[in-house]
Amino acid sequence: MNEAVSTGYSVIGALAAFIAASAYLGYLAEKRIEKSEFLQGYFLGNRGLGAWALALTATVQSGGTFMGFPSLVYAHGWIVLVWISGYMVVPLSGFTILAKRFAFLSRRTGAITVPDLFRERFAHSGVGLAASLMILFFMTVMMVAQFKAGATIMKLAWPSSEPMRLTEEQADFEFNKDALRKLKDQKEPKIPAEVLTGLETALGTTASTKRELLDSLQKAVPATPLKPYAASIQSASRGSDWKYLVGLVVFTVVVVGYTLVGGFLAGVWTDLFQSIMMVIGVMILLFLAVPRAGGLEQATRTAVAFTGPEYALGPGHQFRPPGEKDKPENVFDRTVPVKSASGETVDETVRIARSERAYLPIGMAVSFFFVWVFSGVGSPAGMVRVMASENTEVIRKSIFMLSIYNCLIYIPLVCICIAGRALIPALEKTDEIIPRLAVGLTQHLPGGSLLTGLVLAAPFGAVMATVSCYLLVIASGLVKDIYLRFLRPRAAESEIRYVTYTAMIGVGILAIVANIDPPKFLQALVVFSGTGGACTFVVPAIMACYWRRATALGTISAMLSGGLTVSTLYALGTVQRLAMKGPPESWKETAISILGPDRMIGLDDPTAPYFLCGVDPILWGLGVSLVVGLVVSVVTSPPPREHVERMFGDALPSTSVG
Amino acid sequence: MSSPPSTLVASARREALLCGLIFVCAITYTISTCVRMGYRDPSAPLEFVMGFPDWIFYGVICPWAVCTVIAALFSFVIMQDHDLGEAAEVPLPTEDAILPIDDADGEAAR
Repeated sequence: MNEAVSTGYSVIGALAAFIAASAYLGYLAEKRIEKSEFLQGYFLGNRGLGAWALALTATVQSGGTFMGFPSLVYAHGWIVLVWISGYMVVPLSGFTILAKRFAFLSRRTGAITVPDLFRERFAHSGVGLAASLMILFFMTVMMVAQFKAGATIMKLAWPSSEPMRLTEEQADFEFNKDALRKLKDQKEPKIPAEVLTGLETALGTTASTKRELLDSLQKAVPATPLKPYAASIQSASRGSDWKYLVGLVVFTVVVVGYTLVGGFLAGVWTDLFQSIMMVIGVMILLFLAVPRAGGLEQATRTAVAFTGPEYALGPGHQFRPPGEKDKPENVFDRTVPVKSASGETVDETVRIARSERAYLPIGMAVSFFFVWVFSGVGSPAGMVRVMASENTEVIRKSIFMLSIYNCLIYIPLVCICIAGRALIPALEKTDEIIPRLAVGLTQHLPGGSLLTGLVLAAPFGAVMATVSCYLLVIASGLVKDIYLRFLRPRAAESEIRYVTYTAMIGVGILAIVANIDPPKFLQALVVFSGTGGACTFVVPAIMACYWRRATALGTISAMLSGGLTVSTLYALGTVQRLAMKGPPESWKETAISILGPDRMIGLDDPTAPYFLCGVDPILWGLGVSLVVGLVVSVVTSPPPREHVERMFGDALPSTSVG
Repeated sequence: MSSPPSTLVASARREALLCGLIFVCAITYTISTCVRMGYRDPSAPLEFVMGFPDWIFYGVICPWAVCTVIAALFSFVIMQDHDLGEAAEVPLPTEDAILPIDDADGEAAR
């Protein structure tokens, strides 16, 4: 199982099949909506979403389910199931807290977008504008990151002998075969043969900065001074990213293309398609990986023998091959008898380091239960899909379907990765675990490469579907909430259609430009924008749905205070880390005296937020948003009774109003 | 006096409150069970139930199964269907400068 991952043409073939299927779904969606009123058909699928489509697309997976999550399980063990355990109530919370009221209010007000709904619910354009701006901010950040993920998957799927990783975190520099070839071909300055021979042993070295790359290579080749050739090596290692750029362009053209043609329904149907593919892939891996590891209990015992007892306990610690910063007392040699592929029992020894950082102490465990539940409830993309549901029966059935689906995805994925730790105990790059298992477990099966392609292409489908959804929400915000609201309120349908297409193409071009040299900590921005989105919209949405006394100013205040709280805690996290680096300075001492030292909890992430009192910013954001929303609503003038009755009463509004 | 909430509002509120209660029960049980059984001295031997470490089985798998059953009950027994009404043709008019109403009427909106 430790052999290098070579996926041949299977993954690129599967991606091509996904692209073809998506294009066809876009075409079908266009046929479905072409005779309807444009805005409602294009952005809301004529409010005809069925139970399967709603259940499997409103709150579920993005590419991260198959990308970052397995890596976490592999590195930290069973504690990750506690980390994700909030998903046990996500189907209930996602479809009971807001769904009925949102679906009802969107019909009663004729709202097509989330800002529409807020604006009409409070009869105040300021609420709509605040919601628009917050959605545009958070979703644009999220969407740009997804483009990077899509392009990265396309790059990794390219047939080559390089190992494949399912990760959104690509290194900026990679010393690979292409880079070595460039150095060999280089005329001026000519690289000596002994340097090139030395560098051959360092193939696969990755780094996020020029200096880090040179340091890593120098450590791998200590006998050969590399400094004189630093510029050439750095340039060659960076210049090999044409696959990424091609992937970025192809990904953008495909997603913008089919979304532009088929609108909301194209995005939903693609999402549904990838969700089904993903569950098939997970089931295949589950039934191959766990028996190969000797069953779940044996897999855990083997994984624990390779790592340590904490691998099966809380609060969890990261187990990985040792690095230079690890203290000797945290590095262990583990020798475990394992069964080889031929059935013989052989001793296998691995060297493992245990991180001192506690992954999920109690405060963080509580926090993440909230994160999954409320980021689902407060996601504008999820809200739109609820608004598009056909009727309450659809919402009702979706709860059960999503419950079953979540059981088939998350718990099996954890079991697969625990078995993966037993089968491949010391992966350097933990995000390789799913591709390595997929290739290793299916290569001897009939049609094995097809299965590998299917498993590995699923995250690509998930990213495509996510981007499609975000693209529509952003385009609808630009067209409906800004262009039609402030620039051309009486635009004809043909003009609206033209502006919509232009907006989507514009967003696609922006995403390409932003990702040519993508921001380094994009994944952290994704987490930030997800948490920020939840803290911005959950409390205002609940106020809009259930509290008659809620006022426009109270709602705006709740939105802004929630988002601002999260932003502040993330900024403080950055300040705290900067203060702990480098030589002592007066400002650093002041910052540390106020913020305290690193609490050594959560992931070892350079962009982690400040964990005030040991909990995630989502709890503070939701709390502040709630208090501010309540207080400001109570101290401001109550909303007009007639308007409130229209939003809460049974009587249908008169169509002649206005 | 405000009029009584519509049947949809009333049932949605009831279901949301029930969901909130389930959320509170789930988080309380899951975290307390996992902390009590799983955040412990690593030298003690591991116990397994159906292949899972015992604390994961009782702390996560069992409540997850119970939540799935509750979700089924919600879907097919508890949650009520309602007519969502026809979608309005265009959004209702927006009035930025809604005149404040007197306190007595405002009180009624609570």
